[in-house]
Parts: sequence; C-alpha cells; structure tokens
Amino acid sequence: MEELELLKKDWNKESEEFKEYSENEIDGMIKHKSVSMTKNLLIIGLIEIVLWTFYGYMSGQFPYIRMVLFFAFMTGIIFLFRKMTAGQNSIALMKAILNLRKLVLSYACISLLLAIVDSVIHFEHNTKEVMAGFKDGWGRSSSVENISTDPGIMVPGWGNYLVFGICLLIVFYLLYAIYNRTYGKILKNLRKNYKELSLQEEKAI
Amino acid sequence: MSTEQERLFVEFFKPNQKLIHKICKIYTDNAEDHEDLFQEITIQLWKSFPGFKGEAKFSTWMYRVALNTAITLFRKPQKKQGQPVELDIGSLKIEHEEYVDDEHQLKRMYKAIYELSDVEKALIMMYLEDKPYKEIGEILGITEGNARVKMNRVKNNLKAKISTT
Repeated sequence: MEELELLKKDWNKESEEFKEYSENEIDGMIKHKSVSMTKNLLIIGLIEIVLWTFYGYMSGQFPYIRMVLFFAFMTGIIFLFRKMTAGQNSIALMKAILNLRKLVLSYACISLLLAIVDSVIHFEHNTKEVMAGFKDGWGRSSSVENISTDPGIMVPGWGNYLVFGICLLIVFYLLYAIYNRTYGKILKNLRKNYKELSLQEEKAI
Repeated sequence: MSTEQERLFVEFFKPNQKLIHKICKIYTDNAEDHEDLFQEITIQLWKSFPGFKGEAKFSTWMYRVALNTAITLFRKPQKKQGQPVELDIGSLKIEHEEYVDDEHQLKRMYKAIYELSDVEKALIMMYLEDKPYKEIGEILGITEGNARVKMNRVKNNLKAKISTT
C-alpha cells in the first residue's frame, strides 16, 4: 500500500514540532496527581459504597447485610486496584478495569435491589410515615406544641399510594441515571476496545 | 521513591520523549489534550517504573504503558457524534512544500487515522514505527498471528476511510 509507505516516511522523519521537556520539567510532571480513569472509578465506587452503607444505617433495615457486603466489596476493590498496573499488556489491563467495574456495579445493584425490596415490603408503612411527616410539616406553627403524628393512625387512600409509588419510581430512575452518567459513558469505549481485542483471540482458541 | 530512582527514570525517559509525543499526537486533536495526555503518560510511567525489570527493552515497556494510558486509563469526553473532527493543523504540520500532492494525501491519511478506533490507532502507530508482530502482540496481549490478522484488517479499514475522505 503506497499511501501507507508515504505516511510511514512522514511519521519517522525528524521533526522539531514536539516540545523537548527538560529534566526539571519531567521532575515536576511526575509530582502531579494522576487523573487516571481507574482512580476516578475507584473514587466513585468508594463514594457509592459509603453512601449506600450510610443509607442502610439510616434506614435501619439491613445494617448487618450491608456491613458484610461493604467489607467484602472493599476487600475485593482494594485487591483488584492493587493488581492493576499500566505495565500489563492492554488486554490484561482492560480486563482488570472491567472486573473492577463489575465488582462496583454488583455492589451497587445489590444495594439498589435491597432498597427496592425494602420499599416493596414496607410500602404501606413508608407511605404512612411520609403522610405523617407531611402532616406534621404542613400543620406546624410556632404556637403549636411539637408533637409528632403517629404513622399508625394514618389511613392512606389509593391516591396516597399512587403518589408515593410514583415518587419512588422517580427516585429509582434518578439512581439509574446517575449510574449511567458515572459508569456508563466512561466504560462504554473501554468495553468496546476490550471486545475488539479479545474477540479474535476467542475465535483463535 | 528514592532520588536515585528519580534520576534513573529521567535518564531513561528523556531520550524517549518523542515516542510519547507521537502517541499523544495520534490520540488527541488539540494542543491542550496533547499536553494533558503527555503528563498522564509520564505519571503512569513513573508509577510503573519500579515494576520495570529490564526483561523487555525500555522503549517496548514504555510503549506498553503509554498505549495503555491512552486507550484505557485516560479518557476525555468524546466529541458528539456527527460533529466533524477539527484538526489542529499546527500539530500536523507537514513540511513537504514542494510535494503538494503528497501533502494533501498525508492530510487525508491523518484525518482517516483520527477516525479509527483506539485499538486501531494503536495498531497503525506500531506499524508506522515498524514494530515486529511479536512485540505488537506482547504490548496488546494478543498472539503474534492475531496481531498480523488485525493489522491487515486495520490497513484495509484505513484504506477504505482514505478513499472516502
């Protein structure tokens, strides 16, 4: 292919277009913080794990399960992160990053599932809680003594269930959208690259 | 890390800067991104340097780390689909004034390269650097035969893109 030979000649010609960094500049560069995607992924994952654990603690529904999950996944994440080095070959590195993602996503999915199951099991109770809270917040004034309404005495109608159900669905959709924004876009191309590299390999085997 | 290690790293790194610049050139389309990627590759090289045992040539190891950084660890937000690729002409300056046809053809080729996938860019770059298939396979984590197959496919893909640009 003649065109490629022409390109090769141009590519390898001596060029002055590139900046030559001095020893001091290189030294300064290595002191900078990395913006590597894996690091960002790990930070997002850790923030997510902490938030879900905090949510579990606050709701008081699944504290033990969440704690066990939290420590198991933390161990897994730290293990995978330490195993990753840029010196590996590309396919091994991508596999390691995808494993890290899988781990974080699994944790997030289990947490999300727990939240959904919790919401379904305690749907009636939560609806009453929200109604009682809403009633207290709405009717409160400085002259009235601060007495909380007992959720047990609330009698929700179908409209209350519907509104609460819609609110829950919106919250779950927002969570999904956040996952999609944080993990989805970052890893879409990576997954594509990994497939591109590994597909032929699988065929060869 | 010790100062001695820092000195050793800079000593190895300094004469190989051009290689990193070339990788940045193929993976970025403006000076700012070029500089960011250069810095990220340098950091990743420094972080991975203690793992360099000298089993491979320094340049091969450097290649692996730099390409891994460009295609896996460093991601800039992608341009919206359908948005034309605007090349920084300054970074692609071609000094072939007397060969206008060649210059035109080279510009088309560079434009076509920018449209390739990250992995295809890596393969084309290693082809341009005359890397043997064995080394390409080692860097990417695929077999030598597979590297050969992929390279032929990329060349055909590039050829098709050039003919449509």
